[in-house]
Amino acid sequence: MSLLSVEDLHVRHSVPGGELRAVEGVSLAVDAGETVGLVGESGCGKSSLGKAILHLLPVADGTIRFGGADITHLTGRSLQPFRRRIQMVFQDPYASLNPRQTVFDALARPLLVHGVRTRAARRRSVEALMQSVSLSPEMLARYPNEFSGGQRQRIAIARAMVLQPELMVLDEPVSALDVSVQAQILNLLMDLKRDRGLAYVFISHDLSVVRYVADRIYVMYLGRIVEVADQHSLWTSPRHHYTRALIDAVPKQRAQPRCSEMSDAIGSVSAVTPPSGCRFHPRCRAATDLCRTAVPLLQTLSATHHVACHHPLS
Amino acid sequence: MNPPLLELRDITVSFRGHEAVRGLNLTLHHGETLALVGESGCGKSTTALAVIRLVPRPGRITGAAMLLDGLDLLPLPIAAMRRLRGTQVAMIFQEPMTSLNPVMTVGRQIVEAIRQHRTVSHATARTQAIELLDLVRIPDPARCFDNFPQRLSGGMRQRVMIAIAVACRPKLLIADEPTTALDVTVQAQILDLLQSLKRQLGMGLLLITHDLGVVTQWADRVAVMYAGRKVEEATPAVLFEQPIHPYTRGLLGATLWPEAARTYRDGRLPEIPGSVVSAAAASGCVFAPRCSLVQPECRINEPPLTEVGTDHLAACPIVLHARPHVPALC
Repeated sequence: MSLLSVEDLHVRHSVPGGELRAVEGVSLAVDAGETVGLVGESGCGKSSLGKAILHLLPVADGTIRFGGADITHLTGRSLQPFRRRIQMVFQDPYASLNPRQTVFDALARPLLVHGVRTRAARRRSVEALMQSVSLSPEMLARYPNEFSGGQRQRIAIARAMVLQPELMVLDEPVSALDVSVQAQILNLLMDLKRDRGLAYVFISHDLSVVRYVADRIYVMYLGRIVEVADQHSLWTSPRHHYTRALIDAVPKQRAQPRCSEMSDAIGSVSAVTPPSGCRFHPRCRAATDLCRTAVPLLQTLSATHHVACHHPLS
Repeated sequence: MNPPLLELRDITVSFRGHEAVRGLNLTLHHGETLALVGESGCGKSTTALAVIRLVPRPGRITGAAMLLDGLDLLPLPIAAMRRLRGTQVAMIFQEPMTSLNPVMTVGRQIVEAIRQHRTVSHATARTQAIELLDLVRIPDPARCFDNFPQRLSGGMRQRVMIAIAVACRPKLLIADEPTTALDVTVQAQILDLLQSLKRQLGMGLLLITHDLGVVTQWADRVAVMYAGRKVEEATPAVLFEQPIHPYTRGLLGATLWPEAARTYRDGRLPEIPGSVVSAAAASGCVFAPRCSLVQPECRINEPPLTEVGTDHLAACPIVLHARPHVPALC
């Protein structure tokens, strides 16, 4: 049984001129201790999906199960036990930490909310946690502005870890960081996963980062999952034309001519008025009449590889 | 031989005594793409702003000379400098939404740029603006002319910025992280566009980026900066095959290259410990506090940039002298 299973999830935002269907019929499963990568371009709905899992956005339709229990419609008190088991880390550590709160207050607050009553017990947990993210406990009295971007992201990770969650949703956790600091944070996340058996949903637009961290990868395009595979198959034999184009666009160490399958005709595609049929068809060079009319369903290619395409790559 | 398009001689940019860029020498030839690479705080953006003389107060640019096609920009009065911006040197920035005016149509902003420098009728400027939108490969340019920036995607906005920048055919285009805010698929399109415009219009391109991946595909030469200093310079091929400076080696090692196919199961990524420290107050090599090969002498004297091979400069005597024994990275 999966730790997290999302079935046929829909998330909608109302926008001027209609309804933006950010997530449309997405199913996703995460096993205990597994890292699932979620990739796609900006606006594909990957962050909306992450936030919906945490109940930070309302679910329009579908089911979210955690540890076998249906948590889709839980609110308030009944949701609280699950909140401590699923935590989130955001992209921008400058925006996600309260500038008026010391690091100690930021880290101890969740403990207080979840019933750790004595200050001494809270201090013990928080100090141990600081060490596990390689920060000195002496820094606890400081405010976020006294830290660099990488240190702030360590604090944000520590805050997510405070309640010893089983699953963390990481929304672009290294995108705002410099390359050398990105490596530090990725190493930290992988150490925590190994030592504590954490499961991650790792959301990123950067396929090379997702490849490093993920066991399995979901590729998302305009609200739908277009391909799911283990990271090795996805990189070595992608079956969706969009996945192929994403891989081609990743800058290589050695210059080489690129042969992208994706047309340049973009800018008009929006999730408010999505294209008919396969949503990728206006950008796809292999598109046929079938693609313009019929929505391709996710079909099973092997136990770990699924693709939603009428004309998959071989 | 023609003088270089851009030549910086011993340029320092300081903010109230804090030197964001120190003693920088830089040469960019006609038709060349020079990439300035480094992490935040290394002085690469400040260098770009210095070239176009837009360093914010209280910043001061000092040094021997800053020659654009033979003309020294340093002593130039503001009015003369303003005439050069757009016609000789232009710049595009990271976030196209904040550099475009949200309450003016795209077309009016291009027309404004054209008529700032050229005495042409509004109708002519309009025609030229639509040609420019076509030049930057915006589909249906006449319709785009009447659009407001917020109606366009990030990639399209950056194309509009490029159209404005090249409107008066500058000799030098400075692109400061032009694709950092964009998706990786759009990034390739924008950099391809810059490359072809460079050839078409005979421009030089100063490309500022933190992303080494961008460099291989699109730069002719790379200068790596750290804490306001240039620490290494070479062609991308040489830099990636035989990096000398420990900072360059660290950056290359920490980058996830698709060819390497690394996953977390292959082990931890090489890190550069710590973070970029302020360039001020450090004596000796600026990278010494983070360097794994640091020697006592590194903390005393600042190592000079020396020629270590053909068209290859580096500022690290330690690696240079021990070169056969230093293990290869990546």
